[in-house]
Amino acid sequence: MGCNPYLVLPLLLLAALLQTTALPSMTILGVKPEMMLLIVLGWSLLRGVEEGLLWAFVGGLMLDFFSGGPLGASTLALLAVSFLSGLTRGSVTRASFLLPMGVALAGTLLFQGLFLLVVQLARGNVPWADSLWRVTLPSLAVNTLLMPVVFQVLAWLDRKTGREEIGW
Amino acid sequence: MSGSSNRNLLLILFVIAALIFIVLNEAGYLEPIEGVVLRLISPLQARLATFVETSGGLFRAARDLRDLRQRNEELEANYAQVLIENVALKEAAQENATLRLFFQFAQQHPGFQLVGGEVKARAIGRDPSNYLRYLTIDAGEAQGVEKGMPVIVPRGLVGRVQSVGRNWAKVLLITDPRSSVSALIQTSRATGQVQGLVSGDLAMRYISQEEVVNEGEIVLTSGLGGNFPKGLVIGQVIGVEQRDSGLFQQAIVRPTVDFDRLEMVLVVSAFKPIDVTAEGESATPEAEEP
Repeated sequence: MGCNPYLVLPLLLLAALLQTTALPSMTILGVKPEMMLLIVLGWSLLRGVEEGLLWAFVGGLMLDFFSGGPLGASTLALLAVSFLSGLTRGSVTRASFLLPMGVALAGTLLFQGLFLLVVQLARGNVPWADSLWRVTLPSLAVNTLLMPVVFQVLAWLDRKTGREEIGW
Repeated sequence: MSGSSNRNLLLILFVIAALIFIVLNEAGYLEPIEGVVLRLISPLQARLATFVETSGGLFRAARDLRDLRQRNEELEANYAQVLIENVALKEAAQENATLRLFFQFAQQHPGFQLVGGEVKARAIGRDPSNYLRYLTIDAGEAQGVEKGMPVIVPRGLVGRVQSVGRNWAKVLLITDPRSSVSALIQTSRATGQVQGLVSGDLAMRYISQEEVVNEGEIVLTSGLGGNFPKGLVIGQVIGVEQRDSGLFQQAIVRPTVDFDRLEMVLVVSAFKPIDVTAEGESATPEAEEP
């Protein structure tokens, strides 16, 4: 049985809500953890491109709705990183966290780069150097270190819901 | 001898013996006998006394424990009630203080028509991105909020409404790097543009090199450009960056508003920002600080 959409939507909504409520007050190195990014990356690793993209789309839209930024910026960036993450699905084993951490590192860099690019194109006036130095660098560390925890939870969910194709 | 006579004789003997014991005891002749008897009986008496005392204590303890538990439950219930009341009172006091500040601010600035907008929750309104600084408030079109309206707290300027729905609005904070506010320094009246920094501080740019800017000076909105009313506090200068080769100098400004602890904000609903892109339309701010 695939992952039930009635489970996916509340789960991603919860992740988005957490990212806009609880996580802003739990900043590490001056940045808040990007829960949705880690979830999408992890699920793509576990379930492959198709499901990953679906999660990226739904999760990205939720982030965009909560954000004051351009609608679609997070969605677009998430779709890209989800796709690349999903391609490495065959390499992942639940016993090792190295690949998820590596994916988190690369995914964060790509996600934030794309997000800033969209903001630059849509709104302009992005302080690139300052943003990369003060936000992207700390985010790389924070997201990479948090990925094993998130991945462990997702692996549990993966076992519970099975690996078959979802029936959307 | 008849039976009744025997019973009368036995009664008389017991009465006489008793009288003799009384007399001998009062005379002190029975003390040795009394001592022997007590020595034999006292251990039993002691044990019995202990048993009685213990059992009586247990019964008392059981009764006391039951009473204590009942009392404890009553006290816990009272404590919980008092705790709830205390929290509610503190919240009410805090809200009262905040509203009092807002009320005083409204009285001091009669030109502003203020619409109260309570931030949905301290954290709910934050932007999910680390790069953007937006806040969501629970006042929208239904409350008279429109796009571009300034958002303030008594401590200073918060930002302006970027987008608005029926019962919500997203506020672009002045600390967002894409925000720009025309400002002036209170003492020297030097003008410039205050822009957000990724660090959360503000930079006041385009200050003329001829102006003297000192740390600690207050930065206010200038009203130029028509985006904000004049005279709202933005922050305090904490550093000045001046290069001889530059056309302008720049001041680093720390905002007076604590953006991480915003709970309630006010939207200046009477102020209509001027759309400088609209040609041929003459518009002036409807509200300016008197």
